[in-house]
Amino acid sequence: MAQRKQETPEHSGPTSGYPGAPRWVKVSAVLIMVFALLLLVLLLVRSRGEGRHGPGRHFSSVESREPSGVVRPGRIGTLRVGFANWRTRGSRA
Amino acid sequence: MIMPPRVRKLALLLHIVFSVGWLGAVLVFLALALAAMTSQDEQTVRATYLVTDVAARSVLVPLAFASLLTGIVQSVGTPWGLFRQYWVVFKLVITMVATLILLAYLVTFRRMAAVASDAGADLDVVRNASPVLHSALALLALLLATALAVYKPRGLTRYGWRKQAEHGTGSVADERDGGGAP
Repeated sequence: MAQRKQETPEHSGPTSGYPGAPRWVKVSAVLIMVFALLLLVLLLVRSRGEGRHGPGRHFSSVESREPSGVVRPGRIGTLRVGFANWRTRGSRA
Repeated sequence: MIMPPRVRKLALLLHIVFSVGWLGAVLVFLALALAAMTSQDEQTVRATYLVTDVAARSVLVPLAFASLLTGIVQSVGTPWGLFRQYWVVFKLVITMVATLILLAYLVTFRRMAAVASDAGADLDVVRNASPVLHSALALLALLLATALAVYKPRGLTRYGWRKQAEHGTGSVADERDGGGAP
């Protein structure tokens, strides 16, 4: 098995100082930053255009996002009932 | 604290099981999200969002935390360390970010399930492309983490370099055969 000599201080050169981050780390860091920037721009554009998407939507309350627009506290608690009604209706159809 | 070989092997086994399990679960989520977007059957579409809400809480979240926890244990308990190698740091960051996004996304899962359970909601409103995007990105991130664990690209952090110089130990790669991946 090949030894990884550059990972040991004694093989780092005459100064035995830290050789710095390898190339793959630098390339990955640049790619991550570009991706994050792209994502940020995309989210900003979409949030201005539609006002609906973005990480912030994950923290919004469930009730305020119902399609019917009707705010009903405790809606989540009636999930099973709603689904049961839908299934009954579906089986009749 | 370095774990004895048997404990280390057990920790590695658990980490692989939880991490690969998480990867598989995300793959299933992607398949479900695609099915919800493409299926013409109303019951299938609505049921998919109800299932994903339950499965996210009972499968994805436990697997994510188990993977993160066993990964940290595996790192700390082996010569790889948690902050000594760049690839370990990258894996840690990927896992932590993925877990945080998953936790934030639980609200969205719940909301989509609420919409799906609303019999009055139109199917176009029920359908949501967001899970497809999030599942695909999560899959990509976890595949990247798996690839890092397998290939272990070389590169010591400054901290790792200093620690290695202090202890005067040989290459961490010497542990490669028996050490296992964090």
